[in-house]
Amino acid sequence: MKHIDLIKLLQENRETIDRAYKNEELVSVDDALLDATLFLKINKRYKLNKNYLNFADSILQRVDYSIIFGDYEKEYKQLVKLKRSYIESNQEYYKINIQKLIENLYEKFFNRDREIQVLIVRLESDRSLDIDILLAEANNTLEKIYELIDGNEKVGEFFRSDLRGLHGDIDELLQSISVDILKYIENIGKYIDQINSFIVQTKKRRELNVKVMQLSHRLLDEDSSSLDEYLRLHHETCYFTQLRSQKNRVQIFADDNDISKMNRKDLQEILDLVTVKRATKDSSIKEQSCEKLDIIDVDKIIEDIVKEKSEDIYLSIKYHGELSGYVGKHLVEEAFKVYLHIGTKDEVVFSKQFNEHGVKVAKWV
Amino acid sequence: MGIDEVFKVLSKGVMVSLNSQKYLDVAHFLMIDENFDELSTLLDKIGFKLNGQNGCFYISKKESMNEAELHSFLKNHKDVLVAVAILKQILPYIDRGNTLKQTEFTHQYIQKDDAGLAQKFEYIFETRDLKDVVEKFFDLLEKSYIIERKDRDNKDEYLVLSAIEYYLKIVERVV
Repeated sequence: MKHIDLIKLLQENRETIDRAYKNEELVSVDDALLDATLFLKINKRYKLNKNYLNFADSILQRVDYSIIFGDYEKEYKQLVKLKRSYIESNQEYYKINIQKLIENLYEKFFNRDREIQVLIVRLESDRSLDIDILLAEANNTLEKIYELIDGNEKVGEFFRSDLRGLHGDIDELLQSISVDILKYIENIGKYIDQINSFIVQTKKRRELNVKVMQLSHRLLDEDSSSLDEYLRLHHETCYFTQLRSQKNRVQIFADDNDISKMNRKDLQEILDLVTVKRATKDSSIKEQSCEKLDIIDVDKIIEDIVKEKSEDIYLSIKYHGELSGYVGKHLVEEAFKVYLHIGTKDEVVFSKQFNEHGVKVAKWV
Repeated sequence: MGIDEVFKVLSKGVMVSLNSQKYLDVAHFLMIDENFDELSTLLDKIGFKLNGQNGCFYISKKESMNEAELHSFLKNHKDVLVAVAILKQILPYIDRGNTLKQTEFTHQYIQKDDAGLAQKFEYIFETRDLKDVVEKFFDLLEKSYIIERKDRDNKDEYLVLSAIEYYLKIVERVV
């Protein structure tokens, strides 16, 4: 079968092959697939050839934890042999085989580097596995990578010194891949650091999970003392605490909508004892009233009292012209006010008698 | 003044009045429509709302407050609501932009000679001493961003800020 026929066969049976790749159980397949050894019959079931699976996984960058990186020992030994044969015979055949082996090894380096990268991404993003199994897989991967270190160094050194100078073509090939090979060798150290850090983080996560689990059990048993204590002690930095947290808290006000929902009764309770009246802008207007301003000239009254040599000051005041404007009760009140005022003067002498108005009789002496 | 600084001020629970001298920069920043909209959009994304009515800016929740939150809000603002009610009772015509004098307030308070008021003051400030009461009363209003000193050296004169409208709106719901 030619390669082009193989491609055609794959194309014609692509759905069957895809179902088998997705681990579906197949009970019958086209004979042509069996003849091309793309499928094998195992215990009444048809399975895809492992070689095809490896090819597809490699191209699709799907790496399983069970991958075995292997070493370069076989290729290395073969190269040593070919080098010796080439030096002895100087035949082109050996030179070509050396070049092929170098290219194979380069491809191995390339694929391995990519596989490790994919494996690390898978480890870091895997959420389906139990955390203990994930840790075991990470340790396993780490061991596999450690095993690569010696092989890598050995081949790298062989490329750098032992194969140089054999032939210009070989030197040229080695030169073209030297930078990449060096990069792949250096990457190993980087990958080891990455997996180690992943293992440390995952272990921390496992410890945290254990603690959370313990706490949840305690809470279920209604023992929240340690959590209570922690929240009380760290209220300033924790978001959800028993005390008021100050961390990044946004203070809010009630907006118009909230204010409209406020219970009048609650507000009344708060504002109890305080009576508030809506301030109105209208001011009350007082009715204008005319006030009569009467001035009594007391000095004139005194002058007349002295002139007349009055026997009863109160009576003289009451009938004086200055009080002519008053009548009745007002006249009595005003006359008495003036009587009291004049009564403070030293010249006034009060007798023991009272006049018909019940006022003590007073004289000016 | 940038959006981060404005957020820092508002998120601390400051009610920024347009006539405030202390928060003049913040008010000016938010008066620009683009700035207001930008902060508004940002706050909306994290569940808050930027309010800018009645001459003041403040943050509220995007969703309405539930009963418990309303109750807690009233509990936390109880003293200041009572203080605004008292202020309005003693000086009925006091309004934003007015000058409020400690001396005048004290004089009017004495004139009122209201036992109920004295009792309420005692309840809030836990003292009956007139000087203490008045000082604490003004402190409370100042801390609630309702008034601010007109001059740092003048302890008597305060400017009434627009934020008073916000509290009056609540107080007047019971009138």
